[in-house]
Amino acid sequence: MRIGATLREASRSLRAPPSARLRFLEELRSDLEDLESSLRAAGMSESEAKRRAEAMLAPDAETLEALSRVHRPLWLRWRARLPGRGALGMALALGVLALAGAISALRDTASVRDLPLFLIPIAGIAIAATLRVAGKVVRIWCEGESESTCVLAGSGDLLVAAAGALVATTFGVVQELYHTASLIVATPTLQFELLMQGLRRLTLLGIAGIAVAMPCGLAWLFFVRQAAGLVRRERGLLGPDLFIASTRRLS
Amino acid sequence: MRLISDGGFMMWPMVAITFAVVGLSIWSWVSMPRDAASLDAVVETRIDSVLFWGSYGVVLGILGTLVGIAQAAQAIEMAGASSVNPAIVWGGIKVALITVIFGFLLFSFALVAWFGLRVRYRRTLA
Repeated sequence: MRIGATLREASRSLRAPPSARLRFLEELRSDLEDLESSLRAAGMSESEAKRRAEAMLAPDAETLEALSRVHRPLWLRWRARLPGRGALGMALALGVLALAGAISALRDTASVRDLPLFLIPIAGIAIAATLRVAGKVVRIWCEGESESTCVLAGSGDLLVAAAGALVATTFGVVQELYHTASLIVATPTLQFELLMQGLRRLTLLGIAGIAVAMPCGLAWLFFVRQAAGLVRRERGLLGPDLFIASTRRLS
Repeated sequence: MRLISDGGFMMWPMVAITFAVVGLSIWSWVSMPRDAASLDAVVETRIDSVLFWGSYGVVLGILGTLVGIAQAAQAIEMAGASSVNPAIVWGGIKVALITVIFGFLLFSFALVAWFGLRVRYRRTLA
């Protein structure tokens, strides 16, 4: 149990991608067990052998920091060379301004004006889900917050985004049907053209909503499966008692 | 095979999902541990992914139908009301509905398989 606690502490402090972190923990566990066995073979009691093995091999904060630096991914090394957070913030602000400008320029064109109203919340959900996935990928594989609980945290948001896109699509389809029906009643001479136009608009809305919901669902499944795989390996390494919380969250 | 070719290009990913659902169901059933201690989040996630892919089949089926209807509506709009034969329109809609019917059949199978796997999982856990 004490070895498990040491490994747990090392796992918490180390910043590395999932595979590197688990490899390090496996090596550390194996070294601790080997040393403990040899100390016991030399005549030491079990508790004393464990305590001595930990004192000799348990990594301190400096060692873990050095290890995190070794495993620092390319992204963080590249970011370290940038002038600072101010420059990043400025680049982001410029990007947002350019996007806002492009949207306001396009807003007056006929093709954009004709788009269904409910495409706006669907586009918003798509942007939010993309940012969520990008944020998780950066945190897990670039910044090394790769424990199973970190991988799982916020995955549910993606499922909510998928459901949100489908709900917005349903509302949009109903609104488009109502709008088309109202137009047909008001102008019976253009019945057929209006019907076809309405049909085209609501199918466009449906396709957009589903096209957003499907990758959100896939991303959710990906993160949940990653977390489940990590829980299995971490539980094998550290013992089941230390991972009750993680398994409960997954269940 | 004719059903698959009639349904259009969206039927191919749906056929792939069908194989995935059947494969996952069999794999989950065969590889499910017999003792409660070996049951973990990986086993549970694998079982739930059967239902996930079944739902994915329905969504893909609806997408296939919508794409078919959008294409038909665009073609009709361009051709104009006078030159459209209703038989051709309804023939097109019938074809567009194949994907959604296939999707719901796939979902029904996935639901039954998922339920069976969950029952076995719970019994092992108890």
